[in-house]
Amino acid sequence: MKNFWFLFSAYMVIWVAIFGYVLKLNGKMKELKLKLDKLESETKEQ
Amino acid sequence: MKLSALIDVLTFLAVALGLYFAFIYAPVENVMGPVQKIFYFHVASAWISFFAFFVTFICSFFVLFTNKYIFDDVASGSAEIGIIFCTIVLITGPIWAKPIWGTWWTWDPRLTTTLILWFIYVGYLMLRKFLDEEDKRAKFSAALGIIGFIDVPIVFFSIRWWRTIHPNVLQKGGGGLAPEMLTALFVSIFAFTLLYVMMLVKTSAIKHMFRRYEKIASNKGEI
Amino acid sequence: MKNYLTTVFNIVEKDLLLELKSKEVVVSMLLFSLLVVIVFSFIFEPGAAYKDNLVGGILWMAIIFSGVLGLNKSMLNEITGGNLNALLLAPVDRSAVFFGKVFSNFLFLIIMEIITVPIFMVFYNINIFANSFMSIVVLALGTYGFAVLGTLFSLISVKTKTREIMLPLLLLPLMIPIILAGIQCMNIYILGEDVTESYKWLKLIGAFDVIFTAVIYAIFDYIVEE
Repeated sequence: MKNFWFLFSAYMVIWVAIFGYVLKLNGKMKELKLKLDKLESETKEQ
Repeated sequence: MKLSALIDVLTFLAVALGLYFAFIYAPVENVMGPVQKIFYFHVASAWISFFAFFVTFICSFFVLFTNKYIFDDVASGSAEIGIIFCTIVLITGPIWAKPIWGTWWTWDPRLTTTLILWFIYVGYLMLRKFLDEEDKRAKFSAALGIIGFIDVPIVFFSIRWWRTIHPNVLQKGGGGLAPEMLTALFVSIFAFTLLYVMMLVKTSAIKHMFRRYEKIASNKGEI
Repeated sequence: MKNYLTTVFNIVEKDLLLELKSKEVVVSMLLFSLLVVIVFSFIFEPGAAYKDNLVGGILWMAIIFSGVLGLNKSMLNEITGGNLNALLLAPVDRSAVFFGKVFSNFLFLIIMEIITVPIFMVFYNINIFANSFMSIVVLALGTYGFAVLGTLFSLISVKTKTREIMLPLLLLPLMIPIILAGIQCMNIYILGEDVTESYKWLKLIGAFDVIFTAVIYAIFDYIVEE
């Protein structure tokens, strides 16, 4: 089908952007949760 | 915790549904061919980016009037998500335009306004990046969030006036839409709205957690 | 109301007196606007027919670019010495202090334009008043809008780490309606087209000025609240 590569690349742009951002968000959330838990347990020990 | 997992699952399903509607349910367009299917998520992205900036606009008022940081979290989170969708619009637009109109870019009112919108919100994010003081950051970006949003329709209308005086050959969009295409468009918009909500929930939670972390860390430092 | 206007007037007076002594803001704006006028002339082949269609834009570019510099400098003067903080702590309406600065910036811009425009007319061999004195109106209206948004965002950007780049980054996209309308009007006046065509652009600039004056008046106190 004609112009297939245009269609494909448009969709790739969309999904890379969205998927990438969501992955980044999930990563940040995990990291922050770990940090928070660590801090909270440290302050409790004190 | 459970609610956010529910949102994630619903979003995934909605997006899958949107893809089905766009590719399989909606018929292939006669003139443009399959490339036209970029349209569904291109338009959905445009709607969501404007909606995201509207949310930033409203939350900016609350930031200024209530001084509560939760509104700053939502405002800035919404702006970050809005930029992503706006970028998607500005990239998929030319990818669609090239095979259809033969040109990557045209200075038509909608595309130009979207470009300017992009710059206004890049400015918003840059401003936040270079302001260290939390209070100033919230208030000053709120000012930009409000003024920027009011400016966008003015920009759009002025460019449209300009274009009607000097019309160019390229007109955007065809006449009507086949009803199945309209349905597919609505499903795409719905799916992207859920995507937006999911991202906003996550990013607001991150900013909120980050502030809690800072607070505890600084308290600990004092002790 | 009277106190409000008194505050505004006092700020304007203070800024004018300071500027009269140092002349920093206006002179640096002027040098830059003339530089823009000269550098842009290289766009045109000598004797090009299309020149008259484009010079209106060049005048506005000179005003906008040098204006951004001037606004930055003007706000910088205010910040050094903790002046601005002191002013905002004073028992007066804060937005009055703000609009005082808006008017003094407006005056500085106008002074720069009064000198730039004749020199511009000489270099490009064009008379922007030949067909109509409305050129003055569009310059005044446009400059006011520029001053209002420019003063607010120079205040905002002067507190950031990258203040020189932040002001144009924030201000230029927002200024596009004024830039577009200003250029359209100027082209109409320069090319001698029907002046009534420019009225809708003037109304646009007027509406822009009113809307943003009102919005900033409403929210300014909240923005600078400590």
